[in-house]
Amino acid sequence: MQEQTENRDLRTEELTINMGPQHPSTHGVLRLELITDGEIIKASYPDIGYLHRCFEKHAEARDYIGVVPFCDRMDYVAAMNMEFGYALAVEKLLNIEVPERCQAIRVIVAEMQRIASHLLAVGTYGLDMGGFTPFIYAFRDREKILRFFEELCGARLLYNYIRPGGVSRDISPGLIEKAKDFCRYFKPQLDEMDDLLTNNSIFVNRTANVGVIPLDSAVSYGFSGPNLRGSGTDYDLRKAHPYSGYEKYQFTVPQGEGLKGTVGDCWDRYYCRILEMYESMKIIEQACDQIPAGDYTGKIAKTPKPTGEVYIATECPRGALGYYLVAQGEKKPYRLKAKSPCFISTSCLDEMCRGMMLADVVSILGSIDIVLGEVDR
Amino acid sequence: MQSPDVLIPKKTYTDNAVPKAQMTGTPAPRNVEEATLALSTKISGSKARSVSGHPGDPYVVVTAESLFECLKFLRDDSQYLCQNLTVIAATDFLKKDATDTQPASEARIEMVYILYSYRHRFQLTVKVILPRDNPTIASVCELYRAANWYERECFDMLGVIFDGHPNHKRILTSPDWVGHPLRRDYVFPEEYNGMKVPL
Repeated sequence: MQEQTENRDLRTEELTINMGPQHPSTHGVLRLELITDGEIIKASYPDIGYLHRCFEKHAEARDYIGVVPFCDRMDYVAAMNMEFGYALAVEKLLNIEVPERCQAIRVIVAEMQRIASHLLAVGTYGLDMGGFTPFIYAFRDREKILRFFEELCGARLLYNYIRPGGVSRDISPGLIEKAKDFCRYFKPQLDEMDDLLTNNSIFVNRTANVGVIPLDSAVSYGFSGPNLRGSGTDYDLRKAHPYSGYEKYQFTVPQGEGLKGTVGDCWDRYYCRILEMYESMKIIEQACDQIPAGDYTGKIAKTPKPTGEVYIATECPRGALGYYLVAQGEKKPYRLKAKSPCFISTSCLDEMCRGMMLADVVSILGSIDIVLGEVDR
Repeated sequence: MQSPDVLIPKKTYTDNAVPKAQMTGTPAPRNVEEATLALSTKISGSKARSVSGHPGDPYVVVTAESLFECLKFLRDDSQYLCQNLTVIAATDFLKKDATDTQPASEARIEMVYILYSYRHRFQLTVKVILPRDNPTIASVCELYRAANWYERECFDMLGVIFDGHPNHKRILTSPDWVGHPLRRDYVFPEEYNGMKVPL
């Protein structure tokens, strides 16, 4: 027996490891099949669809206003941004312009939601990398935004607030003050993140030079949002094709510069999100200062019956989320297709993971910041 | 493939303000009509025609056989450089009799390829019309890596067959699912693997 053990050759064949769907680092219900050679990933096959509710089929059975709550439930941590694009698509087909006050309210809530969503992304990323503190700090501040939304529209996560034609209720002067207060409070809190994560050597070692996606590859995969900008471009829909009055606000678009490693690595994508939160605060402050008086909602029929086909994309926290809407002059949408940025990021996992270590899979998954509700729809 | 610097500008905004030219829309030569003209002359058999699509987006309709060549042209031609495939969407249309407001239409599946050029800030919608009973089209996975999963989703949801796809399988529903849910005449299953489906 002793001899047998000593003379036995080391096993060298590939090993298949199953990760998920119930795994805390997959941020939802994603299953990965990992083919490994020792600790090196040879290939990874994402298996999605565990949260598939066929949103697109549901949308064909509801009227135009009734689809809004279903949009919320795609990316449930950035629900405001999900509604935003849908409302713009319907408005484009109906050929209506919402009042300027309504546009400003939408910008404020969309940017607040972006901060909340990035806080969740950054906090859980810290958690994945073994640091518990940033998670607690991030959720403390995210809670303040959720309270703001609760006061605004009565819901904390799924709002049904931005609707085709306007928003569901007006923003009060007190709430505008609260939004500004939040920005004043939050800026020093965000600076703390530099010490907790950004320059933390353990965190940097786990994320720099890991999961590098070069720019041409990112473009071919159709990346958008912070994932694309992390690879070294400053393409942003809010600048390139401004909607809802974004051209009025002064802000810069951060991009990955490879400060800790290679351009397009996990650290760059993480740092893009941190910098974007500063920019969002700038936008909120300007929008709060410039918010015009007037109607908070435009004129729209109770059951609108638009016609035509349109594709509208907006800059969501996880990338450009687009709606392709086919309307045939009926009460219900004929076809509504949601283009999900997370779906695309997930499809690239195989290329990013190949040749990396097993532990890096968690690092890569966290850095592309997927929400499975949006991947599966 | 050109170098990424040519395809996508790295630094566009020198100051905070958006350049005027971008706010006023795309430059003259890169509109849908011009793209249609280029496609119909350069790609034989594309039969490209543009539809204004008001109040929605204008689009180009090409034949299914020429789709691959058309997208290849739009991706590589320096006038367009549409190196981003934003989305592939398919819509199922049942046969409709003419009404007062609408002319009669054939049963069909309309495939929509939305392309985007970072270089020219230009979005182009290319449409292909397929027969409803046997929708088959060439895969564009070789041109765009984004196409892989979009085409799988199209197959899963609407049953469109993509010739030459490297991994032609269902993606969102389970492998043993019957039917394609986004077909307009889809019948909801009463049970799945012995479990009763609540309705």
